[in-house]
This record gives sequence, C-alpha cells and structure tokens, in this order.
Amino acid sequence: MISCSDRLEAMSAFLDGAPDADLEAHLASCPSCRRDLDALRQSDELLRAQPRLSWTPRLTAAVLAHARRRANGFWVLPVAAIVLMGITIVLARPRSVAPEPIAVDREALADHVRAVELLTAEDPPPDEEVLQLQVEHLGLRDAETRLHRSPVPEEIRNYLNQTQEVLSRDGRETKRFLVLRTEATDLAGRYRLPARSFHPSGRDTTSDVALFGIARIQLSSRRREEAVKTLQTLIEGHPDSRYVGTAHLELARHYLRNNDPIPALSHYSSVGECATPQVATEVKSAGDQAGTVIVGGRALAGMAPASLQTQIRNRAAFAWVRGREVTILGPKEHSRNLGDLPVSRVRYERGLAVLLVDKMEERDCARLTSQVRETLRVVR
Amino acid sequence: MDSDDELVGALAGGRSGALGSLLERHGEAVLNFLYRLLRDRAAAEDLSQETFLRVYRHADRYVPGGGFRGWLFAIARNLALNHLRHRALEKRPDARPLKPSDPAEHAELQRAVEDAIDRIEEPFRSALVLCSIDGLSYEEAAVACDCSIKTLSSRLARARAQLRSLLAPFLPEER
Repeated sequence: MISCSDRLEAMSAFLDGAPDADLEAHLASCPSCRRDLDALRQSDELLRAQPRLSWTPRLTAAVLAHARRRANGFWVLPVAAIVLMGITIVLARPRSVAPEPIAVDREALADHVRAVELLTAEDPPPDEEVLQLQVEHLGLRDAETRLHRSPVPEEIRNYLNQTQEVLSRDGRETKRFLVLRTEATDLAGRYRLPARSFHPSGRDTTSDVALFGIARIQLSSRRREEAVKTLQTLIEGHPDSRYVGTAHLELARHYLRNNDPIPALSHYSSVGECATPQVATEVKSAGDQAGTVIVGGRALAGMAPASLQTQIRNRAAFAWVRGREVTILGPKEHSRNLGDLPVSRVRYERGLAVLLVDKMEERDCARLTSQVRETLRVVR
Repeated sequence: MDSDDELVGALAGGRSGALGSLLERHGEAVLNFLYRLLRDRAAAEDLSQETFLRVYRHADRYVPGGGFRGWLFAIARNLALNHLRHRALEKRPDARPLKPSDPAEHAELQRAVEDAIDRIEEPFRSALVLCSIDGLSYEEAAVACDCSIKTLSSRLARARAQLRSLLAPFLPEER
C-alpha cells in the first residue's frame, strides 16, 4: 500500500492535469493529503502570479541586428543598454586593489585594446561602427566581472588613458564621445580607480544634469560622502530640477544604509514622484530603525498615488490603536489632518512631525479605530 | 501561421526573417525563464539574446519533430548554468524584485516568492520554472533539462514540495 508521504510525485502530476483515479480515491478519504495538495496548488499559484519581464522591441532589434552582422561575416557580441549620465571621467592612479589571484582574461582584454586601437586610429571608422565596437565592450560582462577583483591591469589603465585622449581631442557631444565617456566611466568605477575630473572645454559643470551625473559616478565609484555633497549642491542650487526627487531618494538611501533613519526619512519625504512601492518598503525599514511607525504625509494629504494609500492608511490605523509612536513623513502641514485624533503630543524633528500616542484601554480601541477610519475617509 | 519547425527550417535555409517571428513568439518566455534562474535582469537580457543568436547560428542542427521549445530552453538553460558557474566566483548582483503588478502590499510576498525560487537548487529549479511558470510539457522540459521524463517528474515534485515549505508562512491557515 502506498503511504501518504509517497504520493508527492503523483500529486504533482495530478496538479498538471494527469488523471489519477487511485489518488482521487485516496484524497476523498485523507484530509491530510487534501491539505497537502491544496498547499501545493496555492504555492504554484503564487509562483504564476509573479510579475513578468516584457520582451521589448529593443531586444528584438538587437538580436536581428546581430544576426544580420553575423550573416555578413561580422562578429558582434550582444548589445547592452547604454545609459548616458554625467560628465566626469575618472582617471587616475589605482587605489588599493584586492590581490585576489583571479586570472585576467587576456582574450577579453585583447578585444578592448583592439577596439581602442581602432578608435584612436588616425582614420577611425564611422560613428555606427564605433558605437558597435563600444557595445561589444559593454557586452563583455563576464570577462569584466572576472577582472573585477584582480589587480587593475595595465591594459585597462592604458585603455582609459587613450580614451581620455580621444575625449580631449573631440571635446564635444558626438555619439562617439558619449559612448566612450560612458564606457570609461563604467570601467573606472568598476576598478575603483579614484576620480580625476575631466571637463571637456566649454562644458557647464554646475548644471543640474552635470551635478546629477557627477553624483551617479561618485556613487558607482563608492565615493558616497562626495556624492552626498554633490547631491546636496544639486538640491540647493536647482530646487526646481527634475532630478531633485531622485537626488533626495539617493540621499535617503545613503542615510538608511548608514543607520541614520531620521535624515533618511526627511529625504524620503521629498522624493515626490519617485515614490514607488519599493520606496514605501524602504521607508518602513527606516521607520523600524527609528523605532517609529511611518505614515505618509502625502497620502494623508491625498497627494500620494492611490495604490499606496490603502497600505498607509492601514498602517496608520494599526499604529494609533496600538499606542505606538507615529511619524508623519512630510511637511508640517500634512499633519493637520490628524488634529481631531487624541494624540498626547506632537513634536517636530528635522522637518518631520512625530506624534506620541498613549497606550489605551481595550474599550477605547474600537472608538478610536472608528474615529481613525472616519478621519482617513475624509482625508481620502 | 507557420509552426516553430517551419520557422527554424526557414532559418536553416538562410531566411533570417523567420527569426523575428520566433522572437515574438518565445522571446518573453525565454527572458523570464532566464530571469528566474539568474535573478539578474541585465544578464537575463544578454543571455536571452544570445540564446536566439545560437538558434539562428545552429538552426541547421535542429531536428524537426515538434520539440522546438525543449531545444530552445535547453540552449537558454545551458547558457544560464555557464553564467552561474562564472558568477559563483563573484558577489552576486543586488537582487531587486521586479516591479509588482499590484502595489506595495504585495511587495513582501513577491520578494518571498523570488527568494524561495532562488533557494531551490538546480536542477530542481529549472524543472519548476519550466513546468509551473512557463507551461512547458513534461516532454519539452525533459529535453530542456537533458533528462528523462520520469526524472523530470520527480525533480518537479521535489521542487514543489520545497516551494510549499518555503512559502508556508504565506499560505492560508490550515483549517
């Protein structure tokens, strides 16, 4: 006779639609196996409910372009997305490098150097081919990953120096310039080389775009303190810039990483349209660090996306009835909606309103919950 | 509409236009399969492109008979396993969950499911993703995993049991 524990494979196949009269008969008389089957089915459903990546036209175009080139006898590696940000090129002496005994992939490096030779030739290929060569570099992800922990190879430094020469020579935002700059930045950041600023002639390095780009490079080079200063300069100097929200978000994450939740919360309160469910999770984490329950001021003021409001309302109601401290994430005026609630006192800390709620008797909970819900309904 | 076999036959005959149809038909499934194995979006995109380029390059090796999906996912899986072997030497990239289709209240659950998939070892994870998520038949998944159907069925059952244990806190209470 088959024991219940031996029916796992049969249940799995049954879930996939395989008829099994024996199993069905057993299920009819075995509540334990019915529960097991239900749990298997539910976990399968959770699996299928996961969000999926979309296949984009960009990916189709990249594959078809490569296929065409291969058909024509060219060897081109997959296209990587090229995102252009920043104007600083980081080039300088190597800092401390971990002496990991990982072999340098000479073949991959040879590809880099070969491309540089082409790029720095007196008669360089046309822009499209340059772009393709650079794309080929960026596609060498595996090789570069293996190189990451090895000593900074001479070839890489030579490559970066040659890149700088090309950039100095061009000094303008051609496609080739942008691609080279991006790759040099990427490589220098990857090898943790300390930065030496490079500004092409006539470029405004104080614009919001430039500051944001510099900060991104500093962050990718793990020079976080410098990035913090750059981001603060951006926020103070360009309060209306479209990058301000992201700058606040980067700062908030920086402080959260440093276990400094109050300034993190202060910055989270200003991320504006950058507020996403991921940000909400981070805010909750910051609140946990600070020992408080975070309530979105923007949500209370009816300004947050509707999708976030349910979660925030629930969290607020929970906090109030349990007598925990509540921090209103946002400017002072966002806390005005709480005026009717029996909080014991409100204090303001670095721009955030912190409400202290006394613990209460059970009989008061129902009344207060109802009051909270009513208030939130009005706010909504 | 041309069958997969006809499209691969066209590729083998030098008609590269068929590649576009194959991409449209299977690109998303391959991309998501690779993402579930690697949990690294950039690598999944790179390797999904490489998968189809290999289909293009080796179309003449394909033996028609309705097993294209198995063959396709076998290529993708081999690329992914190679990638994972290389990555084992390195710190893995930050595994941020995909943007959830529903808002924040599902973020924790989504993360838990992704973590659970991540904790299921190969070759069990491939069997689970191919059959439970991508909807491959046991025959196709067995080809993709280079094993017998019996082995595939056994791996899938074990993976499901492990998934159930890992997700137990998120399943409804037993009554």
